[in-house]
Amino acid sequence: MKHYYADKTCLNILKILILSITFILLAVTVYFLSFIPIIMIPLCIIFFGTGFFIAMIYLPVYFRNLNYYVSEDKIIKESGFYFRKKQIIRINKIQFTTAVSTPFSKLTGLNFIVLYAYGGMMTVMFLSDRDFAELNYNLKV
Amino acid sequence: MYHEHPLKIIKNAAKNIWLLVFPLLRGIRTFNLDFNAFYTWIKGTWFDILVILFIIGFGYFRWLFTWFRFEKNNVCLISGIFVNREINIPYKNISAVTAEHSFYLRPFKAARVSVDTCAGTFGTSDMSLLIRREDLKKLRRKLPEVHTEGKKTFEFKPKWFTIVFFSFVFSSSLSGIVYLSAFLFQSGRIMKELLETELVEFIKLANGVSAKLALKIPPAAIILGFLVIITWLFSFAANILRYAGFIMKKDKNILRIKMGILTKRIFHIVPNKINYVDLRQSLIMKLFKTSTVNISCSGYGNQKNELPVLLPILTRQQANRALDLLDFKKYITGRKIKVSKLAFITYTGIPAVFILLIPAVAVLLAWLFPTVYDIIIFISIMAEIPFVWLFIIKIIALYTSGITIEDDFCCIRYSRFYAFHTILADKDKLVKIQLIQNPFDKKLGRCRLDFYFNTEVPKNNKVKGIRIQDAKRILEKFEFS
Repeated sequence: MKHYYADKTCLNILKILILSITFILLAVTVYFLSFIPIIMIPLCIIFFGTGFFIAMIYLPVYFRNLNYYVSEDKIIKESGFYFRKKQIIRINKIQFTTAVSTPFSKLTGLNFIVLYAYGGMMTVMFLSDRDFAELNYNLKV
Repeated sequence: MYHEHPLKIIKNAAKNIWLLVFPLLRGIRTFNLDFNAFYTWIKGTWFDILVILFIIGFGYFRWLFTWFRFEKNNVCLISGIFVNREINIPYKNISAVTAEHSFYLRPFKAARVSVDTCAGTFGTSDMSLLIRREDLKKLRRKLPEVHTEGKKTFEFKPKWFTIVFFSFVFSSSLSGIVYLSAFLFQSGRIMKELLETELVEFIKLANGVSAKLALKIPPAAIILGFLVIITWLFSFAANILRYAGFIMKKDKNILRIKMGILTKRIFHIVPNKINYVDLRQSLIMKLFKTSTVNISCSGYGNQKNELPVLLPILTRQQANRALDLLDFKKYITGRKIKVSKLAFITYTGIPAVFILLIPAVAVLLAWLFPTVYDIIIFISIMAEIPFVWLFIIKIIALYTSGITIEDDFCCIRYSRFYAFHTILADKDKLVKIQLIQNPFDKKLGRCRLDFYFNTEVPKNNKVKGIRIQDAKRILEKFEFS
């Protein structure tokens, strides 16, 4: 059974992205709402708190918990932040797959494979470019 | 009620880019071969032309960055300019391939093709392509064993009057409204303005007709009646165009269905991917002992206003022969478990309430608004008819509904709204049975059984008024199979 992890490069990029958005939102809030501090301060706290929580707490834990185990007959996905979730899909029940890769995915690791099976689907997220190519190839043959 | 995100306006606007042909035609008409005039025109419209070129350029690059290929085991579609999207469908998982040869695509030797499997999102194809006809042939050859031309076992081509009758039975004002509104929406403001003027004339005409009639039918009712007839006719015409030229062929490996005049649709269905066969009857069809054979198969009959019909309007003998050739004949059996006759109220309760309620409300309204007495009486009579019809259907359903579950197949007979259904399926396609009891059912020892099959979207087949001990027998059989 092969073990695939979520790509850590992707985690860093997502962190930078979320923190950038947070700081942009903070700057915009301060610039436009500085004359009403009663609204500006709570909004700044909310934006900062949410951004910090997602980037520094939620995403690292989520990425640590995100694991895929692929054997000849099944794919197991473990994920979750507080509640851990385990999904198992039998490979012979997969009807078709959609593989999505974003620009510069070799550097970012923003690769996804959606597996469609009877009555549901499973998304395999944030794979490194090598793992993504390998898994996509194995699912095809 | 909420609207979608305003960004959707841009997406919708892109669909109507063809409307730019009108200002272009106007420009061509007023254009004269004078360099100064051309220069002035360009000076005034350069930005608009640039925008149009950008839209066309975007379409071109999207097309350029979309490929599909036939691999050894899969058909693969790759698309996207920046974000690369690759869909892989193994040939062995394909349940249906649909080819639409629209009249405007035929001169270009193009066809719109949908490839479906038993998974994915309902109502949308798993893979949708606009391809050359030669490529379509290549795709068909890749379907399971279809390249080895099997021995033709069955061909069904209904007579023209069967198609007319089928379209007549399955046309409705509601679907007519859908067609009409789609047509008006596409045609834009010109048609709307034209209709507005026509509508004023039509109201005048309705007033005239109402004055001439011996019966006191109010003009509003006449307008309503006309609207219902017109929309129904639209639905009828659309059904005729869709189902005309219907041919179903079955050989050892594949089911081929061909239909349509303006848009020719050719379906290739893999028989073992059929979830169940549904013999559908309306009250009139039941009286004449005819039925339509529908199938549940991903990729067939999933689109808007499309019926999953396999064989339209068959007599009992024809239906039996067709089912025999489809290997479903043995599934038609007498009802092993029948509905309790005491479930009369369960079946007829709702229509009965409406039958009693409508006259009561009509009397009350007529008393409150005596000036619109004629309209109230007319509407109440019109509203009463469908419920009386439904009441009759439900009484018949009480005597015909039932369940048979054997070791390898099941046959479920029930009624939904105005239709009678007989579901025939392999037992392994039956995935869930749900037992539902309301407090009255619990007291009377009855229940409702909902049957779910292996379909793309869960659809329950409800059999009401089953005795609880019978239901338990069915559940036991299902559990220990």
